[in-house]
Amino acid sequence: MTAQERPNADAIVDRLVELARDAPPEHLSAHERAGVHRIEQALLVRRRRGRALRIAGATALAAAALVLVLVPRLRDRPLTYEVANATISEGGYVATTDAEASLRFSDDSALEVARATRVRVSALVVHGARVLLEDGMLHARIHPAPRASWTLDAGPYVVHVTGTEFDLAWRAQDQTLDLRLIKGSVVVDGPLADAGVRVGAGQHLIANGRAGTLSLVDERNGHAAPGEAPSTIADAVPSESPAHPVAAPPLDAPGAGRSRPRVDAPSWKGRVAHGDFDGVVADAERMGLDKALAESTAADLAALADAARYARRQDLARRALLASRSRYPGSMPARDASFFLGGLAEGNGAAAERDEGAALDWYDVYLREDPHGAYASQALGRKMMLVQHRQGLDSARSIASEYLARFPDGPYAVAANKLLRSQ
Amino acid sequence: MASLSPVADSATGRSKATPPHAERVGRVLPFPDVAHAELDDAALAEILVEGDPRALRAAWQRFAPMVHRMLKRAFGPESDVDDLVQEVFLTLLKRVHTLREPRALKAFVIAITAHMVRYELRRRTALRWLRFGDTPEVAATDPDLDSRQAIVRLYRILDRLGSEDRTVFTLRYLEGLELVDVSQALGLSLATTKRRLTRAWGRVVASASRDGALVDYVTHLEPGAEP
Repeated sequence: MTAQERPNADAIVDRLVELARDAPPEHLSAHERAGVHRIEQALLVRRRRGRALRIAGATALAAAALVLVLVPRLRDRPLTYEVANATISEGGYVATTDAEASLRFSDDSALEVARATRVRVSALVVHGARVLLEDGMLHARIHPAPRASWTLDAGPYVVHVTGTEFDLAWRAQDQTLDLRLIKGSVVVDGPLADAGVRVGAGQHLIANGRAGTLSLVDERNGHAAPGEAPSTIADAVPSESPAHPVAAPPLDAPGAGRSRPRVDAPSWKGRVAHGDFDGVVADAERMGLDKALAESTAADLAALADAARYARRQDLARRALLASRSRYPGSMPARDASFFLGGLAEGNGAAAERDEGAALDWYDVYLREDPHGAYASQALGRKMMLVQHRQGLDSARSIASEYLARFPDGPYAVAANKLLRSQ
Repeated sequence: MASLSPVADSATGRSKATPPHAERVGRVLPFPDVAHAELDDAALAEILVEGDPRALRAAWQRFAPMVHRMLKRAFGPESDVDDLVQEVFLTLLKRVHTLREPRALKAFVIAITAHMVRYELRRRTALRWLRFGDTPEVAATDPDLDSRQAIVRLYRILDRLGSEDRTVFTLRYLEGLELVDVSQALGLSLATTKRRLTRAWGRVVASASRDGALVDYVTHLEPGAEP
């Protein structure tokens, strides 16, 4: 057969396909026919396996149900705790030894209790505990959990905790609560905080139940002057009874010297901002006023002057302002001091202390040193009023015109207009 | 105690111990009830759905030859397809309740078989990949082919097709299904089926035309050819 006589490629495949189609026999062999038995056996095995699986499944379900019943019961058990370096007496009192004690709870929370601290675990619940701090200091590290419910009682104050880390001191002798948050946040209830005060990380709350004061300082924004930072939390609490050191936590109080960051004591400026005027003045007096006026920074002198003015300690305010001007001449606090000295000279309502001449002089100093300063409109307005009072309308009109030209919307604009209209 | 003689297991190809009297005893193959054998496809589908214990045997008698033949044609007459046949019927029992039109039982069985072919081809392809081997090339020349050898060479060529193309080729040309039945059995569009069929045919033709022995063998089958 020649190449031309050969079938084409399609025909070759057609023929091969035909062969392949006819290859399988039409009828099944005996073995192939018996295939139905193999299928029946396979079904039987599957049914048995299915039954075994169902039994296993039912067993697993029963076990799961048992777990579902038992686990909540186990989970609903109250916390437990262990104590190191202390003994537990009836009622949950923790009797510390000379060393600091440690309470480890089953939810991974922990309390480090300073020596000589009186503390009691008054209740244990499923997701927390109630701890009574009768006197002393502790460092708390409460494990955060969705339903954590921890409460620390300190005198009349109640600290509500979910998950956080903080130092807490309560000095029963002078009724002072000192709370310094390291992580998280807590809510404090008590005198002056009836609605609850939220204290966040980096904040420092000091409350004195006897004096009726409460201050909250954000220490991340403030700083203590060198040499003035209390070495412990307890030192930052003004004590009215230094003769009772038993309530003061020791320098090696729990948490001290650990890796957690040390938080500086609040600055005078911060304390003034939170209304702790008496505390700042008391601090200055404890330092010694001469030393405080001679060594404090410009900012602290200004804060001390403010605290003294608000505490109606005019003499101390005047000394602080003068110290600011003499020690930091040309600085903004020094320039501002002249305005406040003018106010002090006016007596701030106290007629006996009124020295209008001196006040005018200080306002002039301010307007000369800082004509566009923050208090310029007030200094010029006060000057206008003093001149009118001392020298009459005619003398005051030129100041009124100047005032309206410079501060048409200023606080003394109405007075200036009235003065110009009057004959 | 009677001795045991090794015989080959047709399903696995492995030897196993069998009592010597097994051949003599044989196996009784009960035939399905005549009533069930005479059921039409719709009625058979209904008793399959109902789980009638005799339904499997009736279905087997009706469809097993077809399924066997389809699978033999798909994988070659020498291939062992017993396990695949068993899987087809187990699948039928498992999925017959999804059959919306009982009269289409035969088409349903064909579709199951077609999917089984495709699945098995994919599995074998994956195994070849795992073994890092491919179908050995057909010897270029083998002058004395008989029909059995020619068919083996054809299946070697088919082994080189992708599983999709080969399934379509098998159903259309080896099984002789209409184009529309192939597309329905595989759940493909008619256009896709045509495209795959054209591609598969072209590749098979190209491979076959390069196989001199195959060409010679087919040439000698032509009428008037010299022996």
